[in-house]
Amino acid sequence: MAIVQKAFLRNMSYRFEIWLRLIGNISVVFIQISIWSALLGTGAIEGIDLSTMITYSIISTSVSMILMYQMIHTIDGKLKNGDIAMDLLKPISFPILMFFDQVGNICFQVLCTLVPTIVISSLLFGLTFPHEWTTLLLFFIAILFAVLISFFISYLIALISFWFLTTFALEWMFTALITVFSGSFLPLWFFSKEWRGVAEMLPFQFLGFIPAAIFMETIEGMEVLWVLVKGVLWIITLWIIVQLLWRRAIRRLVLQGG
Amino acid sequence: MSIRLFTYIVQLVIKSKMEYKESFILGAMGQIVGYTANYLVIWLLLQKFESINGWGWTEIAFLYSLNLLTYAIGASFVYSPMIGLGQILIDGKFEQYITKPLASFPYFIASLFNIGYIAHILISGTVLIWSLVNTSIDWTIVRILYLILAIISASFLQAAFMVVIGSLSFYFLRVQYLFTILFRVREFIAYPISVYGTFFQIILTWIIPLAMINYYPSLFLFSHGSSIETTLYGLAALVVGPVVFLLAYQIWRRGINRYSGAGG
Amino acid sequence: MIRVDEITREYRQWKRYAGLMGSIRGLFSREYTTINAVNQVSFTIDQGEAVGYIGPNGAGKSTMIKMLTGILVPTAGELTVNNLIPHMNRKEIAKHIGIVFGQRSQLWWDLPVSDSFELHKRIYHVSDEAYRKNMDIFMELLNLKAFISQPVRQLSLGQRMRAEIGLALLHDPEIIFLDEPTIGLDVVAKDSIRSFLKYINKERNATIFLTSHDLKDIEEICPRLLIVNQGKLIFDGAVRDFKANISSGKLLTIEFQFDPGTLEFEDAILIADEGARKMYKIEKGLSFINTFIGRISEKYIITDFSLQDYDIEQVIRMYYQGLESESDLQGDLSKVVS
Repeated sequence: MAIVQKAFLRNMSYRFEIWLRLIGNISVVFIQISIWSALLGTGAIEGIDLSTMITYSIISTSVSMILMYQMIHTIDGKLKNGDIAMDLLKPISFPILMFFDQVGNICFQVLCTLVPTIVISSLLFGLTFPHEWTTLLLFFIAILFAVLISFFISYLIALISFWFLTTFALEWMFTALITVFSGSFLPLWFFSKEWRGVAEMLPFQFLGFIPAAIFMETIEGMEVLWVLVKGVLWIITLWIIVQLLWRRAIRRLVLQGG
Repeated sequence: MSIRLFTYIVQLVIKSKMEYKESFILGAMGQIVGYTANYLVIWLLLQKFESINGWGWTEIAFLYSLNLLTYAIGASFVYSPMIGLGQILIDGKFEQYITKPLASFPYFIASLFNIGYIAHILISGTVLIWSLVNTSIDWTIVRILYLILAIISASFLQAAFMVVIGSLSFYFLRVQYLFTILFRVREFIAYPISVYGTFFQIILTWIIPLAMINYYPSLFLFSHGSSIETTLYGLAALVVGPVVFLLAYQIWRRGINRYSGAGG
Repeated sequence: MIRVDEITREYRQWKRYAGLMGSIRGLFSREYTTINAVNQVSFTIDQGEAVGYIGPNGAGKSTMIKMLTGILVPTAGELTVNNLIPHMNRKEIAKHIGIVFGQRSQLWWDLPVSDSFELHKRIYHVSDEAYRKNMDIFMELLNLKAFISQPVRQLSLGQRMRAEIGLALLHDPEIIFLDEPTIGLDVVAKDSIRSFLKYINKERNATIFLTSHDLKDIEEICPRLLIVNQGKLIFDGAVRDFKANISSGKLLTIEFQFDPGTLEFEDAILIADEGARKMYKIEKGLSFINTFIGRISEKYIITDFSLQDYDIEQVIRMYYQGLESESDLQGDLSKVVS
């Protein structure tokens, strides 16, 4: 809890950045909605009209704000300058330490950007709320998945870069994958068949498309269950990969003498 | 400061960077992949919808590339010095730039020239040329000349925005976040500004003239919409860059005065 | 050459608030306090002088250098270098001064040392002939030849500092400002830098303005000493005079078998008290010291004592302590100043 609180306070001190961040997020939502309104007008394509896309844009943008990408640099830095040794001495395992540090960040983001962005955007553009309260429950589970998957992906980037000595290129490549396959701007509905097939085989859809689609109840019934199972499988897979790489990185670090 | 000295310093920067060739090439590749993804999203979108407000894939690709290319040119010169200024001030390293018998601004930006934008330039330049070949423009000398001047002007404009934000470091030190905001706002011109309401079109033309970077030059070249207006805005786009850059430079100078007057 | 007249420089310090509520408060309020980093300081320095400018951390040494080099504008007072006001004539002044900041490098980290020199040659329009002449001198006296073609990142701190000093002197500046040029260096490196600066001062009649924590630097390079504390100039005179005045005194260290508690005497000032080990500063002659020890040994068991002259470093430390604690010592030492 102390770790969470510390990260929260660190963010708090950044003055009007909070305001600016909000304006930035709302302008992202605004741009997306403008494009959809130019594309869809008053009509609908494949049963999707403008109000659907407004909800989609607001939710997927909001979800993407709370994901854990910042920590790539934290871990990368600690691995390279050897600070990691200090953290390894602490009585709490490092990945968990990092995770809770990030949870602090996320709590901050939720309170200071996510909630205001959703509230302001829905006042400005209109948001369609789910009909069933169970949807909200599923939505929160989807968000939890998004957070976990983003956590593992960032961790993975930091770990891989431990061997490549630079996070820069890897980050760009992963950002590229996320840009396309998270569907955070262009929902997977609009992908052509082949591209959609690829997107569904990757974990990135959980970082934008899945939470938004669940919120909008376009994924329903048994399909939700299947999606959630897929999410769990991804989390376990990523977790195993990260664990393996982490052990190797530590072993290498120990061999190098810190 | 002479152009020769400027280019000599830029050469030194490149030479420094080449000490780390592998990570440089790796980074460049990463960036190319990153931007390919952005193009890919737009392409996927236009596979489905064919056009946005009458702009097809090649035209949007041109619009997008013009923004990216001029950003990369401007950023090569000013991004690193401007985003780094806050930290340079904190570390007390700015002093060496104002204690030389040179104009401090060109010396500062030359010393922190960023060759890393070459990847941006490569990909946006490639797509730009591809889109030009695939549109139905008949290329006259005037049009080619116009395009070159538009690129130069827009590069100045892109740089000017960064100089303005960077200059705020003299007052607040922490301005990194403003750069993130700038990049967010720049997203507005990834698409033709006609998709936004009149209000935002006015803002993007007259208040933060981002539309002068790519929208009006594209209109001018593709001759969309009414002719006289298009021509006027198109020509305005050629002068607005240098003019705004000069204004930005004034803000920079005020910032330096403030630095030696009240901060340090 | 350098004229400083009643110069004051203020700083604003923003108030920060602690805790969560504090940072929320920080969103709305921007209060500050004003601090005088340099407070009505006056001095003049002639061409060819070498002056040491010393004082504890936060005394305003760097601020003074920044004002003299045109980086900062004084809040009040007048200041000229070569009859020019530095901050209004930065580019002109820059041609005539060389600056070395001990902790900030001007060298290009990833490039051979020679590239930085080549760049400075172009920046200062140094003629080929002057360049060759200076480089020959630097190669020999600063021993640049040992590492001139190595990338700066591979140099030792001492080598880097030597290169740094050569770089600052490439354009034959009339005035050289050095802020902590020997910080972190080993004895050998310090020696070579000191003798080089002495050489430049003598042979080229270049003015040297030096701040340092290492008073050895000043004893060896600078005949004249300026001492500042809390922004104020508190001593201006020859290093020789300063030492002569002070070193008539001695330091007496006495070790007791048991801690006798606080022991204070007239004419013997307690300057360090570690319980059973006490150090006194005594300005009277040896006969006084004899009777002094005798008097103490009647009451307490002394296991050992030692007598020594103090060097400039200790003197200045006492000087600062005196000023900070406003003790009797200050009264004593102000006599020295006057």
